[in-house]
Amino acid sequence: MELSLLLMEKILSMACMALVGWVAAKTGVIRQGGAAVLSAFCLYIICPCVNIVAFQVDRAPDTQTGLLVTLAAAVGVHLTYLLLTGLLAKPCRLDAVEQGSLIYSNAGNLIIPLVTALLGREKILYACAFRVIQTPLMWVHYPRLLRPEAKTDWLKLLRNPNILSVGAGLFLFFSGLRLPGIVSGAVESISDCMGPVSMFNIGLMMAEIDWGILLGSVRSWLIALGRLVLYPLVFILLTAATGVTARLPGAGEWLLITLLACAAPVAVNVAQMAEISGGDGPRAGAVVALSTLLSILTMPLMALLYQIIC
Amino acid sequence: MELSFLLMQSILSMAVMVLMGWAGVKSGVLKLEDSRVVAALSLYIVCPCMMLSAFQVEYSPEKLQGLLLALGAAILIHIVYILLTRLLAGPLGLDGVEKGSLIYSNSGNFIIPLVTSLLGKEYVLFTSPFLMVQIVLSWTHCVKLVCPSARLDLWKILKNPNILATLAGMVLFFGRLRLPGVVATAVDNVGACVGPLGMFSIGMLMAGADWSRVFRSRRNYAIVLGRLVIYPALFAVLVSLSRITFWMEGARQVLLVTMLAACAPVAVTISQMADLFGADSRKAGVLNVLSVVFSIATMPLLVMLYQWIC
Repeated sequence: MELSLLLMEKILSMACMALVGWVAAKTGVIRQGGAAVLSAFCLYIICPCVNIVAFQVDRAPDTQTGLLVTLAAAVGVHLTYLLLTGLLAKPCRLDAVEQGSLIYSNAGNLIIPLVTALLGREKILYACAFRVIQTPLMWVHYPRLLRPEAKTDWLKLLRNPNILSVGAGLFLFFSGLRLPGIVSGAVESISDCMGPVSMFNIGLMMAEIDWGILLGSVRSWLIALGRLVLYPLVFILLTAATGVTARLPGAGEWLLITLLACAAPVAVNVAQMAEISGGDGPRAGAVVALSTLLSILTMPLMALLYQIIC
Repeated sequence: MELSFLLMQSILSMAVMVLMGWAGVKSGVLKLEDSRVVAALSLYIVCPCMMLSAFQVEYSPEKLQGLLLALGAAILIHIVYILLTRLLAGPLGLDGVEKGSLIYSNSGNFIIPLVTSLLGKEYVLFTSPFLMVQIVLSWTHCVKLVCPSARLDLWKILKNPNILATLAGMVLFFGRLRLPGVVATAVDNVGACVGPLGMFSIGMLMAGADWSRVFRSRRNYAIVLGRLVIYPALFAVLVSLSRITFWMEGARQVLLVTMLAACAPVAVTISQMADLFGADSRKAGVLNVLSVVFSIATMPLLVMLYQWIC
């Protein structure tokens, strides 16, 4: 209960930052196109720093077990989501953007600041475990959903700064190497900017959205609720069914982080990639915005439910 | 000695961030003109949040005394600098941009992160008097220096977001009011981005600089030497002569903050104003870049001098 309240508080304070971004766009302080600059900033500079900082922890046996558990959970939950979406696609007539919205959550720029604020910096690596699985999958699977004839550019995938930096982070973690003080100071201060900068970014994007389309569409609401309630519920039930939290000490907290990643709103990349490959970008953006707003309520509730059941 | 060493480390770690901004532009991930978005974000959102959060401390008579001392020191040192520059201007044939570069230091986005990491968050408060004096002077005196025909816009001073935030912070400080938890967290987190964002924008500006021009002119070295060594040394000597650090408790730390502000590189505002009013903005930019490079070595040395004689 207490954790859920704390979570709600943190989410609200992040919503404040998004609001500031929205106001900045509406008052013209930040001109149009500012969102693209901040996205590039986040993607190419801040996120890689976060990925490296996350793995700059001591390689205790406990940490390694946690990493393995969260990795396994991430693999399991993505397989389940892919299957579930495949089953639902026919009867519900889901298109590519809707399927992507259901499967891929904003596990990066929303969850990492939340985990840092709630549980401390040394726990970010468990959130990264989720991203290690999600990022490659999103770049391989989702483009194929959008354009079935598209080929995967494996080289481009390897050059993705997020994947590169996770690789570097893992290497430093397993070799036990630490960055020198000057560099780690810089990388840490930069990674602290992730929350504010990505919230501004979301606020800037929201300022460009046509809210009329959004609120009128029942389907967008259903997709958002599927992402925020139905899909995380599946994870909670699966975790409860395995009973792992009762058997393995520490698993409760590790999997809470995985749950937060599962309960996050639709990934911003779903809209960005739809835009690039000629999908319905604006509507995807609307679903991202709607789910982000609704998550203020649903995420604490899901965390509460997890704590009760698991 | 130890403090100087720490200072050097913090400055180097900020230099790493500058390098990242520079690399971002050079690798084509960010465009040169994107630095405007970062600068707007920094000036209108992040810096005001920093100021506001600096004043969110317990009110105490000692803090008030420290603030008044810092204000007195800031006013006095600016008068001394302006008079000294006027004396030097004739024999050396200094132009407007050079005079401005000697007088005005980058006391905002450079000093605040340094003070935070060196002395702690509770000392950021004491950077505000210097900043206020400087902002008021730079929109009156400095505008006249750079462009003698410019009309003064006093309204602009009041509308400066940093001044507004400082005033709001002071109202909260003297009224002993605290922002509600959710808003306070948002303001704190946003304010913490001041270092990285400021350094990125300096790095992005540097990527556009013409380096052969930067290092060629001997005159520029002299101006930078004045800004980084002679002017701050004068402040240290004046403080030492007044003996204030010996009889007033806490004065040494408060004036160290002023000292840091006095030995900072050339203010970015000079280039921005030169750009705005059609003066030699390239030269202003060159002076700025050169002074940032040398400040890595001079700032720790001058802090050592201050600790030694004061």
